[in-house]
Amino acid sequence: MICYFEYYVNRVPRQAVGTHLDLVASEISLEEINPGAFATISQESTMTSIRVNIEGRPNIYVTTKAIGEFINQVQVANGRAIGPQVYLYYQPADQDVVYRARIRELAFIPDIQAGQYWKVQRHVKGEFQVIHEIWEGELTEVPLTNAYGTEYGTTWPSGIRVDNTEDISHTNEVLIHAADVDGDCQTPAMIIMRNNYNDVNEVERVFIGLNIYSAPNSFRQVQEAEDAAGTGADVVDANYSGGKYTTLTVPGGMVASTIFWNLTANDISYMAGNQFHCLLRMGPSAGTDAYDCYFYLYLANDGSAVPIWLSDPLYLPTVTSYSVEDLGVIRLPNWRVDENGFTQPMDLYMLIYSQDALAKTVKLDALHLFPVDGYRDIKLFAGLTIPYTYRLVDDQIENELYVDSGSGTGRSYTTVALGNKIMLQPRRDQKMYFIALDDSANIPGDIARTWEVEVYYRPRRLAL
Amino acid sequence: MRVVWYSRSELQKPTVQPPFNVQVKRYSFDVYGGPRECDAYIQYPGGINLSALWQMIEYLRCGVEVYDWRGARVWWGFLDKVTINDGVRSFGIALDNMFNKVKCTYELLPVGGVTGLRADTAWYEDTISSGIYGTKQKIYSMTSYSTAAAVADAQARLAVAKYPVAITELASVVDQAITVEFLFSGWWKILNWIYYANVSTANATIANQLIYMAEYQTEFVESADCRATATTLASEFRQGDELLLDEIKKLLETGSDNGRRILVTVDPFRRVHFYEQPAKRPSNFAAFQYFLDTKNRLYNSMGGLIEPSECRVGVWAQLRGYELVNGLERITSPSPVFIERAIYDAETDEYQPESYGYKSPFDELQGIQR
Repeated sequence: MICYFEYYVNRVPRQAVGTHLDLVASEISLEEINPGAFATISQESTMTSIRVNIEGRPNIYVTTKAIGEFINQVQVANGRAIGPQVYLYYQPADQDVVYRARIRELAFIPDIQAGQYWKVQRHVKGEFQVIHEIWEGELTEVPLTNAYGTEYGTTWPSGIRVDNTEDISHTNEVLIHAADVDGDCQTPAMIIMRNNYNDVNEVERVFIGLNIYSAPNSFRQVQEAEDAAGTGADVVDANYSGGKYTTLTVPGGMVASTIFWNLTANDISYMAGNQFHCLLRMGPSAGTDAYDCYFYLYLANDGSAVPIWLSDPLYLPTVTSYSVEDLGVIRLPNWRVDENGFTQPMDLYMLIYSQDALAKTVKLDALHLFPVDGYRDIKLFAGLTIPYTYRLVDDQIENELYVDSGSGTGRSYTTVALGNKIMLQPRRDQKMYFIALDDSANIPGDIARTWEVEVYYRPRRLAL
Repeated sequence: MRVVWYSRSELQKPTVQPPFNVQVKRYSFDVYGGPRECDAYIQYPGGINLSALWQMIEYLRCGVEVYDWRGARVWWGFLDKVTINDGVRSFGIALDNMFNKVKCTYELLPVGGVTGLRADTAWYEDTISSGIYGTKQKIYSMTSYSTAAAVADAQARLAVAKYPVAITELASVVDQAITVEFLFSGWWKILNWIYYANVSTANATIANQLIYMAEYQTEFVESADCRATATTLASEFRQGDELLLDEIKKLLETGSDNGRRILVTVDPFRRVHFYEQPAKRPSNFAAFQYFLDTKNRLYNSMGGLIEPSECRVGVWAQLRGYELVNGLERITSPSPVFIERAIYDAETDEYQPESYGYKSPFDELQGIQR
């Protein structure tokens, strides 16, 4: 049996054993442990009790001092958000995995009259009461598959290649096979993205999507503007997704410019009534006019154009030069799709209105639909970017998000992740999508940009 | 729910996020302004050092956005008030009682005279404060004074109110939980930080006046547009004694050419959008129709659940679960209802809509006080 408390700083990859208190040793012997269990996924914490016998000679003060340090560090880490987190590690006798659980509160309760025993340096029995979060297995790398193959990361360059859009010559997706995520419940991912695109423009914003429930093997997350019907004029330009973008002239006042995508019955079935972030990828000079418009999205029966259900007006930010922006979240289709998934072809409409009386020119490249199953909109601020060879480490296991120089050193934390966590679902195929935006004025969503992506997780257990 | 903090000075620029988990209690939306108020707090888990909590005061007037489980932005505004309960006392620091640009109106009495004419002092401004928080004006009025006294009074009042004033409650309950409570307000409220004056005596349409007025708040409003057709003409002249928001509200009530109210929302990028209250029975019925069940869950016309955290307002909703009897000719049909305001309770994931005409106990209380 293995059981100890530990805190350490360099977690991923774990570079050194941290401060360690072994509960199965000569100074402290473990008499009984009752590992806490979780009744539901949403339960935040549980309690594990550990009965121990602390030997009196030769170093009882060293041992008790170490216990005090751990109790203090738990309080500092949780109460003041300073320093490393403290974990309980435990390997049940019948298992070959050492599990860990982040400690929220730690107490040691000596048995009656223990104080006298401490004074005479004999021995003391007592119980650790550990309030902790869910049990997590060992850090495990997830094999990723896409058009470039299946890869594990090893050393730089490592991971699998990911491009900046999904079209005939690029892929911004990675598939995770059902068998490659273990555990009892959803578990956060650590996503490492190495910038291997040697370019003077440096990345300063990254979108990451996760598709679990909308047929990840079949669902098309990109709807190209040039594939849509409506009032747009296609422009051939190899710098844009699908090799083209579409120019729409939006009249001033309350007259819409209209564009719509024909969705097959299968498309609707794949969407499955899930909710999607609608990421609008724009063409050249993205911000000049599109930001002065507002947008509606709606579904119509195939060929009908009559809105079945209209979104609220959706807006783009005003002060950004980014070529991809999140318009908002809509449900597609707008009703519950049952397990049979039988449905009809439909049209996904976008209405674009000018916010004032002046006509606008909107250059639309594509519409990305990222399910809400997992979604990150990572913004770097205060001048931080991700230069060539640097990494973005989105460690949602440890709740850390930083840019480093590529080897784990020189971490910069002026980052913020909007959206929610990427939680991998055990035993289901799932797909991740990536879009990165750089600081160039011309093509900030450069589709040729590439990354090496690695994904790690810790399988979670409700009970051991 | 997740709270993301933004720079005070730059729109849409995130700032350093505090190392605490901010819990959202509830937030509200209103057809007048969109995001209205949001209550949130930090439950301090340890009693070691409160200095980190005090730093939260530094976030006053910073922009905030609230994200729900989908990663969707569901509420936005700014930090209006911080209350720190240290277990013994509570300290409240709010922008409400801060004014950094003040003047006095007074009745100027000539020497030996008993009646006088109205006079105004110049505006006196603390540019450090207005540089940090934005300009917040206040006109104090007094009865009879000399110019010198009015000027002295204006300057004294500015000195007192130029920074947010901490209100300390010394006699709080001992051993209460250590918390930091936040009141976030929607950007619409900030239109009330300045007075509105317009010397033009020409007539202009309601729509154009609304746009002009909203954009008058140049510090905070990026732009304004009006999607309602409102061509009624009215004088543009305003003396400058009324707050901007009060002036706008009067025009909103005047309404559109269709005889419906003009509603307004402020988007996350601080653009003001005026729009017409939707028709009760639109030509394309399905697209605009919602249903509200007996547990206040809102559905679209196809039965798709509207996420409670979207806290939808400004829509008509059919009430489900009620059988209307015959003989209701002499009253307005109780269904559909127009959702005027709504509260989202983040702790129970409940949407609590309020229909048009509903008065909350808070409104009633304000009525009594008036």
